[in-house]
Amino acid sequence: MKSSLLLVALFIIALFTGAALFFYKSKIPDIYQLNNAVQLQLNRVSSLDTNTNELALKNRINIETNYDTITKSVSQLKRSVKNMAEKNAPFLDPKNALLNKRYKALQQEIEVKSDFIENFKTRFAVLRNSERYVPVVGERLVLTAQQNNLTDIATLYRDTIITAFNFSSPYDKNADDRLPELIIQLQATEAPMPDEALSDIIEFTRHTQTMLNEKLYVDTYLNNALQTRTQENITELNLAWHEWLKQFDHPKRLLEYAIIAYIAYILIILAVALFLLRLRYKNLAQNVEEKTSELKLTFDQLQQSEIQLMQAEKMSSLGQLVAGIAHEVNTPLGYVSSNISTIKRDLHRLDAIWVAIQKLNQEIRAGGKDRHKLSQILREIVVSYRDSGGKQTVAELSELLDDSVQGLSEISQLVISLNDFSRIDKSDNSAANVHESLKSTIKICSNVIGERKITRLYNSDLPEIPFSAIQLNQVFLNILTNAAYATSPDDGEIRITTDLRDDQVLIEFLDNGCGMDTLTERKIFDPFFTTKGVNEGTGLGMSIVYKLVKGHGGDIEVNSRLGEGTTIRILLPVTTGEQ
Amino acid sequence: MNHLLRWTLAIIGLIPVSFSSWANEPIAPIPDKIDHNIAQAEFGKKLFFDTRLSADNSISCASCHNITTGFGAEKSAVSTGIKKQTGSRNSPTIFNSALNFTQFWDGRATTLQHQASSPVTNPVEMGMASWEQAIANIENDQEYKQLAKSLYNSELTEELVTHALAEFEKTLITPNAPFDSYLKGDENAINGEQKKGYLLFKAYGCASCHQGANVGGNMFQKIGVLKDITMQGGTLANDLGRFNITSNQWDKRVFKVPSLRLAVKTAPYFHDGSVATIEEAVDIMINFQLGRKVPKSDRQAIIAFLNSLVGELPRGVK
Repeated sequence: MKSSLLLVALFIIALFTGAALFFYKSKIPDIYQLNNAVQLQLNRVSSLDTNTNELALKNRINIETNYDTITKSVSQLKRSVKNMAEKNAPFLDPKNALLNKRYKALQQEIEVKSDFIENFKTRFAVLRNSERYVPVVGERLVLTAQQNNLTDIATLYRDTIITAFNFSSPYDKNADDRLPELIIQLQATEAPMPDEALSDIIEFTRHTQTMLNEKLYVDTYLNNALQTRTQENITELNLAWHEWLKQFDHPKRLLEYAIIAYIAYILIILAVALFLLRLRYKNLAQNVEEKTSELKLTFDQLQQSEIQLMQAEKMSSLGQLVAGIAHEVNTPLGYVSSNISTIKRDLHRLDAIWVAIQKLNQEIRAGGKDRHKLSQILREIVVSYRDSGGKQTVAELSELLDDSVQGLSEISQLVISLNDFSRIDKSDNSAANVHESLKSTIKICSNVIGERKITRLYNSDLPEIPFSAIQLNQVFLNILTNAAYATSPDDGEIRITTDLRDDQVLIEFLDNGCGMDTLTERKIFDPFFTTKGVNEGTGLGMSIVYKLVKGHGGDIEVNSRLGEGTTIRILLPVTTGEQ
Repeated sequence: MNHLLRWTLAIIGLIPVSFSSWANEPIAPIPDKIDHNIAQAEFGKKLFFDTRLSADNSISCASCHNITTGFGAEKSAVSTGIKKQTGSRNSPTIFNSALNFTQFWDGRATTLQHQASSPVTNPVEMGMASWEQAIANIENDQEYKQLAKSLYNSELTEELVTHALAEFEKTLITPNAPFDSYLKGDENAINGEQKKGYLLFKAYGCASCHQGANVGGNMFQKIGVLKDITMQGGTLANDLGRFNITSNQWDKRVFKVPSLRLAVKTAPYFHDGSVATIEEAVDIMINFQLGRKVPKSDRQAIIAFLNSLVGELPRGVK
């Protein structure tokens, strides 16, 4: 008891510890998954950032012809940073000082970049217009100047156009310095040129100036946008992130140790449990033995009782048998005894004759001259002869002797039958001959059968059956006794049929006795059930028959009709189960 | 130059740059559809017409953004809110607003959802004291409650209402304009004058700012970039635009470039709606943004081109 209480206690502790571990584990986030997610997000931010740069340049050199793609890219970039924070609360938590700072720095830098890009877009649109228009209006002015023979001015205009062209392309760096100078000179051309050219000159000047101004802005904004530290910020954020993750290293390791300890603990409990189990197992047999010994005792006693009961029945039937035998022996013994008495008496009378003859013999030997003595002796002889009954006596004596011999042989037969009946076999399942057994049994109880008619319908090809002969005899004895008891002594008839059905031997006993009602029929195999009087039967006969038949793998069937008779059918297997 | 360059590039094999026939054009066609949740959009449509979102139950989104007969805008210069109060800005068309990179003339709202929440609590527009009050006004509507539960698994909130409105706005696009068909390769979709107008639109530089699928709406620009707008003689210089948001000197009079897709249908023009006709608007643009003179015939052609930008209104709106 104590040990199982201990086990339960240990188990409960294990449960709570397990729950505690689980709880602790739930506090630690899944680092691997978390990190994966964050890395993916950082990668996305990074690639959007790069993409934005690329698109800005593409717009600058007119590969992209409108701002839709770069606008979308910037919008996605901003959203990706915001998403990252929304999905990962640690970034926004001010308690995570470094992480939060780096995140804000990245966010800030992206805002800055976005502003630069917007400004770039704004300025570039203007720059592009002027770049496109300058040659157009410039060419018009050149023509007008030429038409008015202002060749210097025309040259100036052309020069300006070319310088502007060079200025807008990246190849000629000198144009950067020259263009402002030329623009100053343009204003001076207003006077010499015709009036209708004035608006053109104004436009030309304005647009070239615009080019000059806007290119600076455009390239500055673009450069600034490209030079924002977004990539570095992303890297720094990543580093801060990994620093932040390190805080879980210790708890994770603790958890690992705890789990190892827990597993060890569980294994120990398991070992203890197994040990206790083994102990129990060892004691089990003993315990079971103890507990069942009483049962066994009772069972043994029961078996003993059963044997005793069977013995009792045997004794009882034996008693009946013995009574029968005693009677059978007594009858011939009686008349043999009286015969011998008669013979003895007669021989005694005959003896008188021998004595007389002996006297005669003596006399003759002595000479036989005394006639008086001789006639006296003769007279003795005749008297003795007449007393003994004469010649008849010897015949009578012979008859009596024959009778006696007959009587003794009857007794001898009985003894032989008894031997047969109680023949001790080596094993219970040695073969028994059904017909032989029937014959012996009928003889044994011939006293009980008396004058009743026995009809035999035997199948001569009946094989031997694996049945102990004693027990088979006992079966038949009980049935025949019952049949005899049920039938009238005068016209009682018992028909015995034997047959072979498949691999079963059938023995059927049919009598024309008083039969049984359904209730009795049902109970005849019940131990101690008898319809006989108190001292007449034990009531065990049929129950033993049932037990023996069933024990040999056979079947017994009873069919009875009240007032008409009873049929008992026995089926016994020809082979035992093992064969 | 363009043709030669294009074919040279093609031969060199830089075609992978783009396969579409509008690849090198500044304008792209409007997509046929913007991804949205249909059920939520249906819900948003109900909310769009719901006047209970205004303090005196008189104004709904549809009041200023008339999608049934007004091409998503209204005929007045500025909007009129509750109690007949007027605002300071002209209602831009709500059609194709899903294609804009920010909302409002000054770009202060970054998403459709963000924009949708603003008019409700604007005292001169729908005039609710707060969104809580707006929700309180509609929360007993069983249909709304049931829709909120089934579509969002939530009670009615500002977040939910604005999300539904935004989903609805995503359905308000006008694809398949004649010009879009032209971009896709149908040479006969627009007439000669419109084609000429498009070329001029590009040549004059209008397309520098009014570009992309929405012909605008994807960048900021200063009004009066080549000529000072204070010289307009009208009220356009009064509104300082993005400066009001950023307080940055450089952002004075900087506005979001509006979409020209439905421009010919949504007079009056500019941020305060002070310009009544498209002709006048084009003139001002040319004058102050392009710094050039443009002959009248060219202007006509450009306006003809702008007409070809008008696409199909979505079904179920009329």
